[in-house]
Amino acid sequence: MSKIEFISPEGLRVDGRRPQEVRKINYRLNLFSRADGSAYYEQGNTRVLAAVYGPRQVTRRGASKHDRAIINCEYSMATFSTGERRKSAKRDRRSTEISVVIRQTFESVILTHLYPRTQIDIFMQVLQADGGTRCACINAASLALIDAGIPMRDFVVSCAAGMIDGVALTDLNYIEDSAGGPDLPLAILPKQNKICLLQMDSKLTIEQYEEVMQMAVEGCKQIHAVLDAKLKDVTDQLVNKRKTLL
Amino acid sequence: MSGYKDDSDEEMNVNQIEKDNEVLLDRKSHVQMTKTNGRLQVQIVTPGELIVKNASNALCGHGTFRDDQDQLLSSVCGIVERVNKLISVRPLRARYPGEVGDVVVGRITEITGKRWKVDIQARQDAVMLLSSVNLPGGVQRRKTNEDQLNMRSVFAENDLIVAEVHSRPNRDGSLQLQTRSSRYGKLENGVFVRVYAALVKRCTQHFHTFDFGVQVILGNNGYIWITKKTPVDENKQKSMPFYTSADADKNEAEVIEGKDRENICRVRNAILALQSQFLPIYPATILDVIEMSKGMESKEMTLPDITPLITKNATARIQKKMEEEDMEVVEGGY
Repeated sequence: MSKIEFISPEGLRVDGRRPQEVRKINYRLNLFSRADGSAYYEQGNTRVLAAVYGPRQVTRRGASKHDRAIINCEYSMATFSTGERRKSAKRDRRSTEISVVIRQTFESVILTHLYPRTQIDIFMQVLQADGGTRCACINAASLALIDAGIPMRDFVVSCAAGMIDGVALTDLNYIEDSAGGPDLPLAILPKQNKICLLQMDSKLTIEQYEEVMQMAVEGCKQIHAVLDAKLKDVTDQLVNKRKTLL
Repeated sequence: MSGYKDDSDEEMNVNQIEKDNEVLLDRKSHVQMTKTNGRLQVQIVTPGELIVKNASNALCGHGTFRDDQDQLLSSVCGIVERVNKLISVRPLRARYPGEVGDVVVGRITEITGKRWKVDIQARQDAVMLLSSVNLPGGVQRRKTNEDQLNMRSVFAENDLIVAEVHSRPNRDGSLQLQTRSSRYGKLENGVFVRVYAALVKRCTQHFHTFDFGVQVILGNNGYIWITKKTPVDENKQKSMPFYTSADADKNEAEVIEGKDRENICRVRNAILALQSQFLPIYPATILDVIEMSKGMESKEMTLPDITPLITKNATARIQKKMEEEDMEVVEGGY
């Protein structure tokens, strides 16, 4: 009877990372011509797409708010995103919950009061699921919102952390995620050191919680550094190509 | 330098830029730049980034906000601009903000009561009141109830129109349009292109006719209309200021053939090529691209590996213009 060895004697994880190391990140902006902003984001083998529409005319009359913009979020998983192909991509309990969680995260960050009587739609689709899809979706949505030029209080970044065999690990992949240990997705405002999303549905001692929490924060900061550097690079290229600013 | 800078500006201090990096300000475009190792670079910020640490003297412009510690932070990803104490961040792509007097191309989405709702790629649909259009035939009179019932015969849903931004009736950012001029009205027999609003350069004329018989309307909102140049008919101009939906039923759709069709396509693809390279769109750059694409078929112009080649002249033009506009740079430390 062999159990998977999640941490090797050398201290390396199943995919060769160290406990505090996040997976390789890559992204592209502005993929869709019809969306105001869009992003393709990959973190290891987790791949997601996000598209942002708006601020635009409210489609459902009566839903419009006279003092702020309303935000709609939709999270979905492609039928081919998981190991076993799923029959239909209909909205299930899990994706509805994630949609709500992501909406609440962005409602606290987007400066909605600037755009009364409008709506902002965020669509996210998981193309390949390898753990940490909700965090990847938050990062992708954040990038797509920036691409759309929508004002936000901070650059939201998200990362999960967990604990296996008493070792705190950041950015769990699918194998580590299904080990059954605690999983703690976290989204932070890195420049202001504030938390805008924190979920955990298992039991941990205070000491262990502190440790896992620290791991997640560290992961977020690593991701922020990568995203921010590339974003500046991409923007710089566009500005320099133009050499003029209107 | 004096006169441009306010004494109180001295009190603000820049945090982001280290001591050996000079902060400079381009007088013409008001863009803030940093000089690193002798190289001028436009200052780029991302959301949440600190722009001014002690912002009690600074004015908070678009794309910025003030936090509880009186710091001025950026809320979008873009370039920092400064006019005296007013600091703002311009995002590279955003919805059309709207400005009174702008020429816009839009599509009617809805007819309600005495008004049309028009999609102009802004944050909300713009409104156009029945009282701010010229009636077919050009008669000037008060609009009656009957006119209100016949609104659909002037502009129906999904019609494309060209109009001018008349005002901002509310503080919520909505816009009001008008078509009280013979230049404005319904658009027919042409091609519609959608580009980023920020790329359409503000010009004195947004209606432009090319020598090869193609007319473009470069809407400030990023909606562009391309059509064949119509011979000016003085009598018609007077009696019928613009086409309406009622006329459309009478006038069969005009057939545009051969060379004209090809030219319209070329202009369309030139505009899309400019957009793909993120270059400003105005008649001169469009002509540059058309000039460089002479030897090829118009369908080749939008291929990803072709666009950098045919926009070379346009890119050079913009860089040259920048040099001519002698980049007068003043020291911009707060």
